[in-house]
Amino acid sequence: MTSSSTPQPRTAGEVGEQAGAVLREIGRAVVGKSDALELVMLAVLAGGHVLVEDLPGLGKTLLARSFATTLGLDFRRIQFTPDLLPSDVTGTPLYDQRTGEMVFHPGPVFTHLLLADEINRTPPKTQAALLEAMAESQVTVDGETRPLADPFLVIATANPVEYEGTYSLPEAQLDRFQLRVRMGYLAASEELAMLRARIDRAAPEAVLERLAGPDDVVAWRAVVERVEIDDDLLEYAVALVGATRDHPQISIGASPRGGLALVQLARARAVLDGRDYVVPEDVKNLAVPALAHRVSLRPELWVREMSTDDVLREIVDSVGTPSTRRTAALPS
Amino acid sequence: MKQGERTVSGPVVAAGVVGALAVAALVLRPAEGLLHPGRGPLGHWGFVAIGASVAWTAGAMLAVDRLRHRIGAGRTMLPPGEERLREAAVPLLFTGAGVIGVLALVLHRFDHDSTPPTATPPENLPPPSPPPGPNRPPSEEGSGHSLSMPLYLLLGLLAAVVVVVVTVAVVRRLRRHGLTVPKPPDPAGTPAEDDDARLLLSAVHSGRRALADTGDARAAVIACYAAMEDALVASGVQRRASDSPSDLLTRAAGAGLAPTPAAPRLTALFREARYSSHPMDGSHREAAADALEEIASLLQDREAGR
Repeated sequence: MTSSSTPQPRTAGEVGEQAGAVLREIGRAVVGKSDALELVMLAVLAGGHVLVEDLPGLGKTLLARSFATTLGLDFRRIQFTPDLLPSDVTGTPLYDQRTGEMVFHPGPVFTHLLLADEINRTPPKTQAALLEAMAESQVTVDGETRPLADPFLVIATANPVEYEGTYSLPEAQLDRFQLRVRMGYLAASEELAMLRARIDRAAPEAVLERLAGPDDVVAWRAVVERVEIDDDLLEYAVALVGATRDHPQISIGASPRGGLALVQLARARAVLDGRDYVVPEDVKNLAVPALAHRVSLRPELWVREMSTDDVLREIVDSVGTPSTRRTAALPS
Repeated sequence: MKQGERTVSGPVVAAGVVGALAVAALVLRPAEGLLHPGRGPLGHWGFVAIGASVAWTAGAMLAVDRLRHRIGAGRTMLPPGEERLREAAVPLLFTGAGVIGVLALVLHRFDHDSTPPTATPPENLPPPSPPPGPNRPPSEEGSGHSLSMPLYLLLGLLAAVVVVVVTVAVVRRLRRHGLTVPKPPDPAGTPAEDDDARLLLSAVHSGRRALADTGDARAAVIACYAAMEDALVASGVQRRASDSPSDLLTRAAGAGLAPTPAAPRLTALFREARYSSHPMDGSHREAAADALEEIASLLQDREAGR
């Protein structure tokens, strides 16, 4: 099923099957996190970046490494620390004594899948070094712009900000993540299964098989671009984004980029289900992961320990879905 | 300020304040202490005190209604400490303004004799009476009994109005926060059940009619699904504006109304017909019709078994 030997899939059904196989393979290593795995796969299909936010020890790093292995992507990891410099991320020109010229040494950002581990442990200056790379798939060093690999995917992990030694991610950077994933604790039965699997394999981690390659991922993304979405559903997405701007408990609502991310993720969701058209469930179920990290709550709600996820769920439950009968004009 | 609201000019406000102060001065007796239940020239007429209290309370409510938007407007700039202080102080100030009117009425000493005071010479004044005690003769209170009755009726009426206003305000607030006010139970269950059965049949018939009338397979599939939706609602499944087809299906399954694969099948057909540009043909139409018949017979059996 790798890129070099098999023809590129051209239908949503085929891509859905391949992506499902990848998810099942990763599920052997990351136990009991099917929802989180699906969300990361949606970002892979939609061409976005993922922020995995949760407490330490819940399998965030394992998840990122498993995707890189199964998708056959080049993988680099940056462990973000308080003393990390922007040039440690993007790369830097160094003087070559033999040629007498400045030679650019690419940083770890020049890869397919970059794991930005514990991104909120580094100051905003270094976090911002990822901005251009994430938004435009290119970096500019010493006035020269260099393109990044295609596909380029950042999976950043972050511990909750209330943990010691962390820096809140700037809103501009948060907005560049297509979705936020929360891992959460395993249920008791799942935790038991994880321990049993660890004992049975007699190795720290499961060895995963490579099921795809970079060309496959690029082809999958092309299929996502052909997924159709009804005008009523676009209006529904706009209504959801608009509701975040009018909600009394939200001080800063979602940006237009949030609406773009929601629609693109909904199209990816359709492909994962083998459809070439979006349905209301695709948009509704992805509103919280796609928008919750882009909004800021009013300060008084911090004291009440309300999360943006709670407010977004409230919004999703209040915004009407498209009516049963079509109101928008039929696509020509 | 909202559009359409009239602005009150400064001189009118100033004249109103001066007028209110003048009435207050005439009702009170300035020569006596703060806590003394004194009365001034207008204090002899109970209706003046009642009217002033009602006017004050109404004015306070009006002012609260207008000021609330302005006070809430700039709170994004406040730091958390000041925000908490504001949250505590604003309700106290607003409530206090309203309570003043009620207190003025409660603390007012209503006289049984409503005639205005006359200028009597000092020598005609009665000798100082002893302070009121438990052995006070009842004849003193009974002297103005006929005059006090309308007053107490008025006070009772006022209290009833206040209770109604507070109840309406509480209900409106509950509804604004999405809470439902309990409805009185139906006197008998039979008419409602009959209505449900009629709605169910009507929904199924409308679906069948749509299948027979329209030649467009896409429209027919959508009509079948709409009929299923209506039938499920008629059978007691709650439908909300924010529901997706899956939500309704899940709720129907939870209520035991979608035990067969017919409902998911019809929902899948609907999604394709409604949200894709795929060509729909007679096979889609027949599949939707079969699913609708299956669901309709299930719901009708259920209604019959009630």
